[in-house]
Amino acid sequence: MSDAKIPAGYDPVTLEVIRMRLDSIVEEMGIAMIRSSGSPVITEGGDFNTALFDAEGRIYAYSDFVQMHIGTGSMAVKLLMEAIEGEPLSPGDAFICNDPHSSGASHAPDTTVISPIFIGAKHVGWAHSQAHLVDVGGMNPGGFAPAATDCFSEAIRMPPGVKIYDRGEPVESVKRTILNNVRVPKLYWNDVRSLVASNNTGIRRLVETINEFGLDEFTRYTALNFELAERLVRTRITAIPDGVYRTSDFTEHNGHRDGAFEIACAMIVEGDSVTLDFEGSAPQTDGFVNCSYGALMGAIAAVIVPVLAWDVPFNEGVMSAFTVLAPRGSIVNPESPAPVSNGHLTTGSRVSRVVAKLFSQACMRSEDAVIQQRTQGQWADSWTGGIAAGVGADGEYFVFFNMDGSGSGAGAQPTGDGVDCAGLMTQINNVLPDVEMNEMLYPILYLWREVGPTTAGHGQFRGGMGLDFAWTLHGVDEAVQTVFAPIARIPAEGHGGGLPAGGSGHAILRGTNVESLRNSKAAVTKGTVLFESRDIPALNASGLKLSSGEVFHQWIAGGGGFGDPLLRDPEKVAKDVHDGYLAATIASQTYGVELGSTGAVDHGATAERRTSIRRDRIGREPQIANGEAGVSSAPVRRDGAWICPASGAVISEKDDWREDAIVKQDEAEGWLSDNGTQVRGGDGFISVTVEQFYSPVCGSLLDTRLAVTELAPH
Amino acid sequence: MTTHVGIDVGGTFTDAVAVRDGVPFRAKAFSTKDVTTGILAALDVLSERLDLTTTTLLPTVERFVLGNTIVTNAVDEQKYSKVALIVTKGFRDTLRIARSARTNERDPHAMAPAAEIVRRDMILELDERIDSVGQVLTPLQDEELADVVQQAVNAGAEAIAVCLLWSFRNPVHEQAVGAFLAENHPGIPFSLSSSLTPVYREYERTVTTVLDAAVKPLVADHFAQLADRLREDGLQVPVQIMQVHGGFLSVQETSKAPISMFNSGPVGGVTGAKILGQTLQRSRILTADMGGTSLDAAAIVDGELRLLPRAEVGGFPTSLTAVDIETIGAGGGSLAWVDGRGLLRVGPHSAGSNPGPACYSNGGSRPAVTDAAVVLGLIDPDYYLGGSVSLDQTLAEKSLIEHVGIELGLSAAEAAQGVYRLATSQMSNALRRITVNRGHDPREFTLVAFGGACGLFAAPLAREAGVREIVVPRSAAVFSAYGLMHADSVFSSVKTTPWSVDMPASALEAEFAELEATAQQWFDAEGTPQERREVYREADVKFAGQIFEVTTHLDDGEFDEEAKPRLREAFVRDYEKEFGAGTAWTEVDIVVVNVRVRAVGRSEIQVSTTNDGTGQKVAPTRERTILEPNAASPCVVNAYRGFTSTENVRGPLIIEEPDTTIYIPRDATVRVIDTGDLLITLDDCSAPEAIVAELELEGASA
Repeated sequence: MSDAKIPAGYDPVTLEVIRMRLDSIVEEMGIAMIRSSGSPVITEGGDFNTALFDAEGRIYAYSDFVQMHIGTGSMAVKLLMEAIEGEPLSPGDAFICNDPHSSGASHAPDTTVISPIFIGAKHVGWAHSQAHLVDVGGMNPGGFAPAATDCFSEAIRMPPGVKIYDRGEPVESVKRTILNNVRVPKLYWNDVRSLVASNNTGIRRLVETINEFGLDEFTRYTALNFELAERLVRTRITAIPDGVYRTSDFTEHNGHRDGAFEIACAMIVEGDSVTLDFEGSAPQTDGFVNCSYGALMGAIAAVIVPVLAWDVPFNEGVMSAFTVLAPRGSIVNPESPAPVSNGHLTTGSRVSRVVAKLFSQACMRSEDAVIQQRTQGQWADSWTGGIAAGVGADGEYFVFFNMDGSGSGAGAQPTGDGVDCAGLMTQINNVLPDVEMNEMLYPILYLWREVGPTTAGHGQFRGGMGLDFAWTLHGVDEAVQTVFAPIARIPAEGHGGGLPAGGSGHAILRGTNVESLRNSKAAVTKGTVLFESRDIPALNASGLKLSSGEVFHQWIAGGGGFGDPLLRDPEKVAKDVHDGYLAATIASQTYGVELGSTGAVDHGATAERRTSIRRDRIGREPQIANGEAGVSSAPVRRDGAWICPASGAVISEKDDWREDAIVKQDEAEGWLSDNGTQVRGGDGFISVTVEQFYSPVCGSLLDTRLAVTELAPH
Repeated sequence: MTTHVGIDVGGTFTDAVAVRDGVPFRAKAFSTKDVTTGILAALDVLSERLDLTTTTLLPTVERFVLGNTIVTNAVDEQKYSKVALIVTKGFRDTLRIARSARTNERDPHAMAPAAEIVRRDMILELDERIDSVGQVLTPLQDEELADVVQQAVNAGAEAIAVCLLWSFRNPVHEQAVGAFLAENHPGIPFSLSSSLTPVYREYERTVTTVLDAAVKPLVADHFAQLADRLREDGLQVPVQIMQVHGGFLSVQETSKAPISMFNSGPVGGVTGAKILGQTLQRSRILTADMGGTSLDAAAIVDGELRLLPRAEVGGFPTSLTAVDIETIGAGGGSLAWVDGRGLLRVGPHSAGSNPGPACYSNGGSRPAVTDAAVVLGLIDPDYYLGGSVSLDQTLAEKSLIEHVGIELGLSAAEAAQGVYRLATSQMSNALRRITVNRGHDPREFTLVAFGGACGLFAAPLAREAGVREIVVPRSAAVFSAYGLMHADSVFSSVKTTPWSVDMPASALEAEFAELEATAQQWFDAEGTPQERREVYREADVKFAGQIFEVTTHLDDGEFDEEAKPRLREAFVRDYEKEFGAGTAWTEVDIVVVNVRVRAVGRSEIQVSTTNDGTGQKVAPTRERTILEPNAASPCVVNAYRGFTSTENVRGPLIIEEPDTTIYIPRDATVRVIDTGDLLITLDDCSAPEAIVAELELEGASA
């Protein structure tokens, strides 16, 4: 067994059988939740997770519904254990919590129920289920409170250790208190029941599994499972060159104020360990964008899994190689009373972007063939939301939390285009609602719902496109709208010469002809709607009045591109044009692809055009040597020198190849617009510049970066 | 003299079974690309077995049932006709958005968009709109319709799919499109979502409608060819086609909605198991059908197949209802490998039939499950498929050493044991999903194990899943064709009809009555005699505020005001069966979403007995050395060819049938029962104590 990775005394088959069993148990818990829940956020949005922990709070297995909750779940269990230390615990007990400051929750709507697991009298673990509940009280329906200046206005806050079920029976006093504080108590309680049903499912399957193998054997094997996962991740980290990698990103608005709230991170790679240090990040702010510590850990895990542990069953071991340092009182580790209700979908998502970018920077320096490829265009990581609330025709209060918000684009990959409407990177198993689903449940009528061609980042591989839709009220006369468009001005960046993507936004069309069109039974479509004004709300806004006939329009950011657009297969460009997802002018100007009168690629003209674009970029004749077909422009290190693989050109022999690149800078909104991509301008608060790095030899676009300057203090 | 014929077209073989006056005959031929030639070849072989020719056999056939893979193949290979899709203006990207194409895939490199089944320039928009209550907001304009259809025709559409928003609530616009197409372009087949699948959620409805249209031209050609040829050869009765929901329909009905033939293959076997269960008087049957690449498992409770809405076709969710079959990628060809953590894995990649497992000597070097079985001695390399394929044990050992053994520090035999146990464990997860996850106790089930590879795994598989009793049908290898012959004709009609308890009962009654009238018309068209007509009422019900429904059976008779509380009781019962006692939303009213009428034309079951019941003495063919999957050292066992003992014989032993091998471990006994099938009984199972507890505990605390 000297070569074997499995130590003596363990049967590799039993090891895998136990691992598969644990994965199937958490999956079954999730199915129990989906099937018994009444909330579209759970059933359609999949915004929940299930997990099993050992008695010490180490995670055995975790279901892939939303990966961000990995961090929050682990913290919730550990904080509960601290809170109830010494208190009696019985089978059938269940604890509820949602306070982001004390219980690990990412924001207050993410409600957790944790149940102890017993074998006989012995406490052997915890079942954990968490879901985004539709309403948790507070100043805004839906629990997102852009106007809040502290966490007390945001929601009812349950700390660790609130017992909601006692030996299988609801604790009525607690139940009454909670239900008195939420807007849709029936729905709330039914969802709590779904969380408990999910835990029950996990408990019975785990108990059965432990009985089958015996507790000692089970414990021994799960410990080895932790170790093996850790070992693989550490091996992969070793393939990343040691060093300190730095980058930063910005949260664009704090809920009631524009600004640029910096998320700074240094990634220190040392042997088989990584430290992520957020020193230098902005102090906590009085708006809802502060990212709770649980959400921070989740945002980091949501990147580590796809980048370094994509093929490893998730357990405690995956995260062991990482140390996270976040200054207390900062935007990434706030203290009470900082409001946090949208921190995970703004600052937290930006943390994912920052960490993904750090990995892209670091992995591209690796000479390991696999690790070198773990790079990508950024995802549109920040969640664009719309919540409408009002009184329906039946007199009942409704909260239309539109899960269409998960229609953002994925970053382009070294292997292909980013997926359209993929959701955040963390949203494994993302599901968007059907139009008929939303129209059946809420008093609205969609006018269109399409993918937005101006949202994707261009590149050899295009970023995924985001959703673009509009609706008008139908059956009610008014509603109040909350919006957040946290990825409006600083969109997803590309990698290796891919271009930045477009941003998100909302518009309310007022003074429209919708009523008169409807009275004459004419079609109300993008082409027929006329309006007097097009109100563009602030990035975050609540209390927006919507009246019948007005049109609510939302568009969602796309993913960043990968590789120089001049390297894109001309046939793919022609198809995009033919399908209406790319303008022919952009095909020519950005991709260098010329189409003939039938729409087919003119290969001669395309080759000429592409060479001429390269020439314009660097002001001299481009040299293209032994390029490898089909590979990208993302620089790679070979024998100490930086190469553009697509052209074979040696770009630089310096440690940072950028020092030898030809750099151009343009104002982002205008430059992207010229390339057919839409972002919101800085509105006088910030200025965003696109820096383009061209190979001095072959004229390939090697990288684009967004540089952000704050114009007004916040 | 009555003859019933069942034909099951599979990936490799086309199986034909005839039952003539209670006596079964079986035949195999290679499947062909055009399907028809393979069917005719199988019929030729079958006729020979009956000392007839096809032209003398067919005129005597009273029933001819076909399980057809033509649609499954077309979908798997994405061989679609050029389809134009007509949608509501503003909603042209529904297929591209695909309700987000994310899956549970974690590797961003492997995330992929949904396959493009309609080119975007073939997706055409109509200026029309209907709202959620079925009110026409924008009426369809004749001129625009003509224009849009012309665009489709000009673009070369071979078939047209129509899916407009809310058409299931008010089909007037889709019907207008259909009428226009029928009148002006009779040569272009079309599918209307409101006729095909009138249920809500436009994504699934669009996918279903497009796939249906995309296979229509192909199916029409195939049926015309097949039906002509069979009629020429003397077949007097109509050909009946197996459907994914477990019943069959005539060629004419199938042609209207050919997508319902998709994946109807495994249904034949499940139906056969259901009939076998009735014969054996077992009310709970679990099926395991293991072939080369996958295992299909299904549960039959109280003689009924469980139907599942939103069946998946070619990776797309559809609005079809299908028999609930759990499929996992574990079969004889599944490959074993060692992952990045140094752990053994089996599947989901398969060696297929070409190159096949390493022991096929056909160029495959990686070890498959079959290689493990050869190394363990469970399969006799000289008697695989009755000796028609000879296997190379040395290559099997070599592949296991090179790809598993070296890395894990195991010998070929130890590696083979590991592969066998891991494959068994994965398959047992499928059996558990289909029982425990649906709220059933596996100990109450009898496992019916069939398909070429299943006999090798049936007993250990059953033990791990908590099942105690296994039946391996004598006709295991052609069991699906056998099952087809016994299927009922089933017609189901569904309509989305929101109804809540504060509405009059008569409103719901009217909807049922309308659907029942359609069902009776269908019986008439199919020529089903009155005494074999059965009609069932079902409703998809949920608690107000829930998103997903649970299907509930209504009792017979008119639905009146008094029936309302009974409907609630029935729903709560079905709901708690699914989610556990105490999970029902006690404070909340129920809402009906869909009403459905299922019409069943019962088949006349011919019971066939092959065993003469003489209880001949056990005659061991010879001795063989095997290594049991969990044993430390090899042992010598009896290997029987033609096992006939009606007394229990204790394992370990091997039973070799010409087309399959059955392994009986040491903790089990086997005997032949009256039907001629093998009954395997496991010694007491210990694990399932916990299962009872879990079923009881399920909702206890909710």
